[in-house]
Amino acid sequence: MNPYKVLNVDCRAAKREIIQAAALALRERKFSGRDVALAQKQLLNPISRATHEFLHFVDVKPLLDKVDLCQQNEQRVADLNRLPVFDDDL
Amino acid sequence: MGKKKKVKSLEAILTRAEKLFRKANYPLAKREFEKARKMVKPEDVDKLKDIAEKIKICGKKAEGLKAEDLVRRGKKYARKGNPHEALRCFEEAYGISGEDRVREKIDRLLAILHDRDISKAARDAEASGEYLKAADLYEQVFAAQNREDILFKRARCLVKAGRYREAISIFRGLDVRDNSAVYDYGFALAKEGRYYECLKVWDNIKSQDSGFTEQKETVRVLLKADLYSRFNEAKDFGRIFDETKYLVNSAGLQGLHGLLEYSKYAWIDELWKEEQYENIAELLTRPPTEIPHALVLLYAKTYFKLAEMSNTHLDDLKLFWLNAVYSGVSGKLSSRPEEDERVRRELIQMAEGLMKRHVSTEDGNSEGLLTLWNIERKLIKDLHALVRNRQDLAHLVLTPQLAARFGKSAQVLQLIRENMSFFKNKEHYLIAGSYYSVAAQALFHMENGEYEEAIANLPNETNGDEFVDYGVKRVEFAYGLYCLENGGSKLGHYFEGSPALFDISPGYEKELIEKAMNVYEIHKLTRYKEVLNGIHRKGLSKGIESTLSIVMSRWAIEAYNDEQINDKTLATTLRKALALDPENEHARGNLNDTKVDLERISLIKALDRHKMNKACKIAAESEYQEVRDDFFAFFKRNLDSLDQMGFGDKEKAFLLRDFYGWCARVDDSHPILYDIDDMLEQLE
Repeated sequence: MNPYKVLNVDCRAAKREIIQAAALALRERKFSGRDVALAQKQLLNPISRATHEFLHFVDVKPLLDKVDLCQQNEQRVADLNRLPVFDDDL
Repeated sequence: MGKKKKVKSLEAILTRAEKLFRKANYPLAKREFEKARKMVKPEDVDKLKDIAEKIKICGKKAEGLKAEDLVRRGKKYARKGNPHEALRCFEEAYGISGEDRVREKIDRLLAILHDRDISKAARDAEASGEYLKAADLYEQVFAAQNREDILFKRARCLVKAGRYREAISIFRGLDVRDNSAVYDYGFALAKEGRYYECLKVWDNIKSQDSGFTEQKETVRVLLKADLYSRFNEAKDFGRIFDETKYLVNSAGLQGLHGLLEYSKYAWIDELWKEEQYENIAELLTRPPTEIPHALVLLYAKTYFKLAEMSNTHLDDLKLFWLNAVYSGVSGKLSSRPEEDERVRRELIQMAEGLMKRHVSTEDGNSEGLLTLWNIERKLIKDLHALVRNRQDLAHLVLTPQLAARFGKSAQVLQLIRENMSFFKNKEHYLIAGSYYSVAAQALFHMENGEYEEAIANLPNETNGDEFVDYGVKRVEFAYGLYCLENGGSKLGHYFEGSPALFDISPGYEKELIEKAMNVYEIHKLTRYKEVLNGIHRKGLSKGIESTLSIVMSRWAIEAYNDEQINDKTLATTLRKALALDPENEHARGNLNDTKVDLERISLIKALDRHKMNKACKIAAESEYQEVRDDFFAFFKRNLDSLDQMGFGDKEKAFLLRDFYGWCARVDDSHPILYDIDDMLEQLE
C-alpha cells in the first residue's frame, strides 16, 4: 500500500497536511477507514515515512540535469521540394 | 437488242413472294407483294387485303432486322474502342426499334464519353500544371468510375498543388506501394511537419537516388529539430523518445544521445506516476557500464515494484537494491541522519521479505538468490561501515556483482587493502576481498552449492593476490568436501591448500574433522583417509592427527570385514593409527582383539599341522585366555572322539600319554589332565 496515494499527498506534505488529508480521505471513502488510518500512521512515523518515500517516489532530476540539450538547426521545411525522381515509376 | 423480259403472271409473283416471306427475306418479299398488288383486280378485295397485310408484316420485319444489324455494328465499334461510331449506330437502331435496352447502351456510352472527356481534361490540366483543377477533375472521374488509380492521380495532383493535408487523407486510405505514390505520401507528410511519419513511409522506398537520399537526410534533420522543439514544450515524452530512438537507430544521427536519454527519463517520470512499472523496466536495460547513483535508485525501485507483483525481476532486484540503499553518503535515506540506518534496515527487510515470499513458492533458483543476497548484504554493509561519511569513496560502496559490472572491483579491492585494520581478523579481511576478486564468480557458485561450476570458474592464476589465493583455497576446499561425500578424482589436489586455509580459518579444519568423524562407510573412509593423510603430511595438527587415527582404525576394521585386507594388514594399520594417536581407544581395542585372533589363528594352524611343540608354546606364552581355551578345546574334542578313531588300546594309551604331556606343558593343573588320567586308568 502506498500511503501517499491513499492520502493523496506528495512527499513534502507536512504533519498538519497529512492529518487533514486523512480526514478528507475518510470522507471520500475511496479507501477503507483501516487503510486511511494505517497510511496516516505510516506517514507520521519518520522511519516508515522515509521508507515509503524511498519506495514510492523517483527523482529523475539528477539524471535530466546531466543531459546536454544543445541543438542547432539550419534546415527548414520550406527547403523541401518535391522530387520528380519517382514519377517515371508510374 | 436485249432479251425481252418475260411478264410473269400474278400467281407466279405471289408464289415467289410467299417463298421469300417464308425464308425471312422480307425486303424482297415486300417488293414482290407490292408487284402483285398492282396486278390484282380492284374487285378482288380479299386478295388485296391479304397482300396489304403481308406487305405490312414484311415492312416491320425488315426494319427489325435493320435495327438488329445496327446494334451489332454498334457493339463492334464499342469493342474496337470507337465509342462515337458505336453511339451513332445505337442511336439509329433506337430510332428504328425504340427498344429500352438500346437506350441503356446509348446512356452508358454517353457516360463513358463524358468520363473520357473529363479524364482527358484532367490529364490536360495536369500536363499544363493546373494541378488543383486536375485534382478536381480526377475526383469527378473517380466518382464515376470508382477506381483506386484515379485516387492516386488525384492525390499526386494535390501534392503538386501544395494541398498536402488533403493528399495525406487520400493516401492514408490507400494501399500505397509504388515508389511514386510512397514518395508523394511521405513528401506530403514532411510538408505537414510530420517528419517521423514521412521517414517511416519513405523507409519503404529502396532507392539509392542521391536526390532522394539527400532529401531524406534533410527530413531527418528537420525531425531532430522538431523533437527538440517539442521537448521544450514538455509534452508527450513517450513519442519523443520513440522518434529519437528511431532516428538514432536508423541513421545514427549525431547529437541525439542527450535528447534520447532526457526523453527517456522524462517519460519514465510520467510512467512512474502512472504506475506503469513494466514499461519502465523495458526502458531500463541492464547497464553494461557504470551508471549514476540516481539511476541505480531508479532501477532498484522499479524492480522492487515489479517483484511485488511477480517473481520475474528478483535477479534485478538483488542486483540493485542493496546498492541503492547503501550507496550515497550517510543520511540520504532520511531527513535525519540518525534515522538513516533504521530506514535502511527496514528497506532491506522489505526486499528480503519479497524474496523469501517468492522463495517459499518457487524452485531452488530463488533459494540460491537468497544465499547470494545474504553474502552481498554482509559485504556491502562492511564497505559502507568502512567508507562511513567519506563522500569521495561513497561510489565504491557496491556489491561485488555491481562493482564488477561498473568496473570498480579493483578500486574496491584497493580500498579493502588499505583498510585491513578495519576488519576484525585476517579471515574477515580475506573473505571481503575474495568476493571482489576474480575468484568471486567461483565463490558465488560454491555458496550456491554449484560445486562443479565453482571449480570450473576458478581463475587460472592467482598472480600472488592474497584475495584470489584465499578464494581459490576456499573453493577447492569446498569442492574437496563435496568430492569426499560424492566421489571424485584427484581428491588430494583440492586439499593441497587446506593447511594454509586452516591457519587463517580454523573453522574449516573443524568442519573437515566433524565430517570425518561422522563417516562409517568403507568408500568414504577410504577417501577421508587419503585426504587426511595428505593434509597430515603437510603439517602438524593435533586435530587432523587424531581424526586421521580414528578414520584409519575405522577403515581397517571395515576393510578387514569386507575381506579387503588380511589380519596382518589390519594389525599393522591399527598399530599405525595408535601411533598417530595413542588415545585412540577404537584402535587400541581392535588391536587387542586382532592380536587374540592372530594367536588363535597361529595356534590352529600349528595344531592342524601337528606341530604340537609350537602349539604348546603359543598357548603357554599367550596373554589371552581365549588362546588357551582354544588349545584345550582341541584336545577335549580329540578325547571325545578317541573311540571313533579305530585305534587299539595300546595306541590309545600312547596317544593319551602324549596328550597329557602337551596339556601339562601349557597348564599342569588344567582339569583335562584328570580326564586323561581316568581314560588311561580304564585302558590299563
